[in-house]
Amino acid sequence: MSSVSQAILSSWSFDPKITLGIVAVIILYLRGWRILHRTSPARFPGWRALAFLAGLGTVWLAIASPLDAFSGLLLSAHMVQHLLLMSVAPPLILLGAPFLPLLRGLPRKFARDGVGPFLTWPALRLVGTTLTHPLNCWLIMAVTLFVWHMPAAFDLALRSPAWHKFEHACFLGAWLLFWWPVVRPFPSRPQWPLWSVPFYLLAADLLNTTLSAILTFSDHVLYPTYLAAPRLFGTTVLGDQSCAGLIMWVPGSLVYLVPAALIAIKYLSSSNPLVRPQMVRLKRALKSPSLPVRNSLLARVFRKLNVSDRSVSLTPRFSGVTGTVLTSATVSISTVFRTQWKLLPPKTASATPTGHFDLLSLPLLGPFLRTQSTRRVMQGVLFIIALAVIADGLFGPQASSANLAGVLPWTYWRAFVVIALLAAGNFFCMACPFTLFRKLGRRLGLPQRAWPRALRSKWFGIALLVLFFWAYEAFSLWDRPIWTAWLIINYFLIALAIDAFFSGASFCKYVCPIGQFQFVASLVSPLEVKVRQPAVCADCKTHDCLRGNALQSGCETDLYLPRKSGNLDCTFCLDCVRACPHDNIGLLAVAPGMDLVRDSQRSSIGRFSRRLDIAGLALVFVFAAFANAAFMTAPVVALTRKLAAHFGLASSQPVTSILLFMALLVVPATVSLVAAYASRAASREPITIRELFCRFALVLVPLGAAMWAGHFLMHLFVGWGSGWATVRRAATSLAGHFLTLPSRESSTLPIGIDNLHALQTILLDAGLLLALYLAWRICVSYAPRMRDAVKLFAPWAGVAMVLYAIGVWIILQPMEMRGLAALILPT
Amino acid sequence: MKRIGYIKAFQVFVLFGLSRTVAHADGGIMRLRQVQGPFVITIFTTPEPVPHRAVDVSVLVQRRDSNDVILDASVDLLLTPPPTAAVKPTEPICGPSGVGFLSPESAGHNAPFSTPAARAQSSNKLMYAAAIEFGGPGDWTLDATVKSNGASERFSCRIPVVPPPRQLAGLWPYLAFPLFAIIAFALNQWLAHGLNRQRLPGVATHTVLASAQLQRSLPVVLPLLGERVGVGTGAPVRPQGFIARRLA
Ligand code: SF4
Ligand code: SF4
Repeated sequence: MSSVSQAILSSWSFDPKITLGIVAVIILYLRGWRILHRTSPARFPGWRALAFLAGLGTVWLAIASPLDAFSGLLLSAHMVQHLLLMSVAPPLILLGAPFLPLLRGLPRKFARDGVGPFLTWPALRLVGTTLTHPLNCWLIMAVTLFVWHMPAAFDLALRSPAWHKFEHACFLGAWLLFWWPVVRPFPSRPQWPLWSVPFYLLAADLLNTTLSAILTFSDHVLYPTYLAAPRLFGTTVLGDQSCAGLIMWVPGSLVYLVPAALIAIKYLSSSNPLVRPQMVRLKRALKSPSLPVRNSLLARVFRKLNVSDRSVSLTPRFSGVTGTVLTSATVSISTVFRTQWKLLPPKTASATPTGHFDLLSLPLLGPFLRTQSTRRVMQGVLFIIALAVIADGLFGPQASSANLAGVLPWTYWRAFVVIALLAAGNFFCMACPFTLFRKLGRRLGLPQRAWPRALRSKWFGIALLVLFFWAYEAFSLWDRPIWTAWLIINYFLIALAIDAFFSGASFCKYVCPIGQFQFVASLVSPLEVKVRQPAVCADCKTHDCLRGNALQSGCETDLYLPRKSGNLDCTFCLDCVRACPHDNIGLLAVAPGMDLVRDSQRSSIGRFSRRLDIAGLALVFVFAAFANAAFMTAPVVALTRKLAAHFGLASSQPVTSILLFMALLVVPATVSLVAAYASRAASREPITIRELFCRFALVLVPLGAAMWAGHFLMHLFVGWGSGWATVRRAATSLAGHFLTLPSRESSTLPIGIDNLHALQTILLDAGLLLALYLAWRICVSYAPRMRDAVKLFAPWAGVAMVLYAIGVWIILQPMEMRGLAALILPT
Repeated sequence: MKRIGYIKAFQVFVLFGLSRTVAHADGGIMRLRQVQGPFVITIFTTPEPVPHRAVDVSVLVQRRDSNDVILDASVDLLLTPPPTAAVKPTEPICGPSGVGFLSPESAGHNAPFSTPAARAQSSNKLMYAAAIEFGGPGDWTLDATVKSNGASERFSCRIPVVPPPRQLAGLWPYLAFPLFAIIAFALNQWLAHGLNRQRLPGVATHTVLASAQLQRSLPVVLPLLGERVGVGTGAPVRPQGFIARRLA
């Protein structure tokens, strides 16, 4: 192959956003198609899925292949690209009958409650009816074709990548509509008879021929962009233009003419004497507004077709519009259509259990995670890393960016922990090195006692968490490797002491500030340790998940699995999984945060509405996220210095401390109480202030988690490059020449500062929307009347929006390198 | 070849829109096309280069005699800032001291600097490309030195770097998204609430009503859900009251 050909064939461009979007749609479609295929294989055969995948693959090919790279230089390449987007991808996508699979691919609840009401909205139905009318489809196609082939528009698309993308979207969208009346994707209703389709296609071909003839025979260069472009492969501008015209003309016409011919042949030959009259009758029956008439017509049709009427019974299996559409209805409807068009014997649908995704059921990962030694190994690895951090912190250079104690905990560990929490669950607690010696502590033979009753709440944990945040800010822990090392040493000693004296996981549940942080964040995690089948627990006599057995201890945080709800206090230790004799516990996928909407009696926790301490913990978690990030911004640092100067203080540390305590304690308490009072006063619902405070404080957790994630991602972005060099230096200085790691070029996280800001904003968006949704769901549960629910909701929505605005402001602020500042300022 | 009248008419119409004679490649705009020595070179850049963001500079090198693309040239780019290029000091950020916010590369340049352009960095592998971050706005000078087969030529052009849009403006799609989502959700609740209000006791009317509406809609056509069609043994759920009126 010549080097030029090689160069051409390797000119692929990869747009991650578009590629990820296409992959997401494919996953959604395949998920829905798999379910529908199981219940209705004739309606959703394998070729439909293949057609849909081919359609999306064609879209990707058009925009990522060398065609795109050369579209600015060669009109012919550009024409092929457009042809793929207009004439190849749309019919393939529609042949995949994507409507129901995509709907069914959505989470059932979202499809039913989120999309369902829109599907029944008359305004939207009118839009759908109008848009898919063949005349409108044809006109939209014609206008799009004409407008985008105007030189000014064509030139605009070539000049601006954004317009180019928009042009492609127009082509794809307009031709999806154009092909709709031709392909008639299930379950659409044809608006024109079949015989009209060939004429419809021929009219489109006429338009296509006119345009392509102009391009082919013109002696002017129609698109001056190409006049100025460098000529490749010995082509001339006019030659290239003619070639593009021919591509548009010949293959472009074929894609209209071949289907037109096929449909005409099908129409003329589809005179099955048995089916045709029944189809007419069936159509009439479906149109009939009178139910008895319809039923009798349908009965006749089915008798003629020799099909049992029971096979088309449409009994709703559960309430809700889309849910019914998606389950029993699709089974039955597919049967109707199979009998209608193909005369296949109806198949009996088998009800399939719709189990949640269970991480522990995955082939290799599941058994790996369940093994006790896996946890030990993970803890051991983190323990060794902790030892290295301590050693380097104590004896290494006291420049944080060059010290493991400066880089690993504050740049990498925090970010990965929060990412893991939001993407999966509380996996740090699972691998926590501080509890590695719990058993060792117990073997010391000290008398084990229960954790003092007075301390069995989150108040002590909250106090320690606030203390930790304060120490972090006041003493710039991130910039003091030696302090970080001592902090870790003390953490180990306190954990060992508490585990030696007290039974269970008292340290995790009541003391550990990291644990409290993780517990709150894991309220919005998508995985939860949960019973698989509640019915099995109902018959269980031993309750090993809580009590343990000879081989395995039960839950050390006192969570009884059948009554456990949510992730609070769960360390993901999986002891319960190993203890359960019925293998009835999994790591199941749950809708993030939805547990906060329920106020059920939870094992070892009780009701959220009665737990002021948990609400307080959640508020500290949320407000600390914003305070911690805000104290890193230049304007806030400048403010603290200004205030310090104003009060004649030598250091800004006291000011920082006061502001921080206010931000962590005074502001959240005041804001939440005011919101609770306002909620109650406006709605006049008979709910106590305490209950409102307790329940709504928790709905702000998604926002806090989003802010933490955004902030830590920024640290990861900035510190990414320093990691390897630091590890390399520390390895050499700690292990001498036994461990010499290869050098690597340092770099920032390869996502770009703009993308980072976008990612942070997307995180905040998700946090805000989830917080608002949870708040709304709680309001609706209290006040069934819409008006009362809105009044209850408004103050909390206001709090969430203000926090969101503060988050966006923080993201956009220049950051202050306060580590350096702290060294300069006298402390 | 005989010309057809309507083709001429159409050409007149479409040529009306011709105003710019710029070319674009690799998602960029043509800055220079020049024949010099044994080379023809064309330089493309991102349409609107802004400071502190990666700007794609692509160079196509062709033979003067045959227009063949030269794939084994060496291309070096020298970028000289305008005398007025104002460069903000690098923003520091929270985190371990000693870690600059941005590396010199990512922070942009405010002094002349050179960088090689390579085909590996271009999405169109016939071109030589480099991702450059300009330190400030203004007219920068780009000197491209092309060497191939012992010949060396230098080409020069200007690249106008425009001031960056305000950060907030760059984030507007992400900031607007919650607003759209909230409006969509409010609409959803309003519609769902309307449906619930029309529910009749004891009958799965929510389903029947919704499916009745679904059936009449396009692009969805479904038999009424929640009812038995045909002459089955089970008692059909008969529409009543409001639903019956709607269906009539
Ligand atoms: S031991 Fe297993 S089956 Fe028994 S209650 Fe616990 S989770 Fe359920
Ligand atoms: S429920 Fe208890 S035993 Fe099970 S993983 Fe969570 S903390 Fe461990």
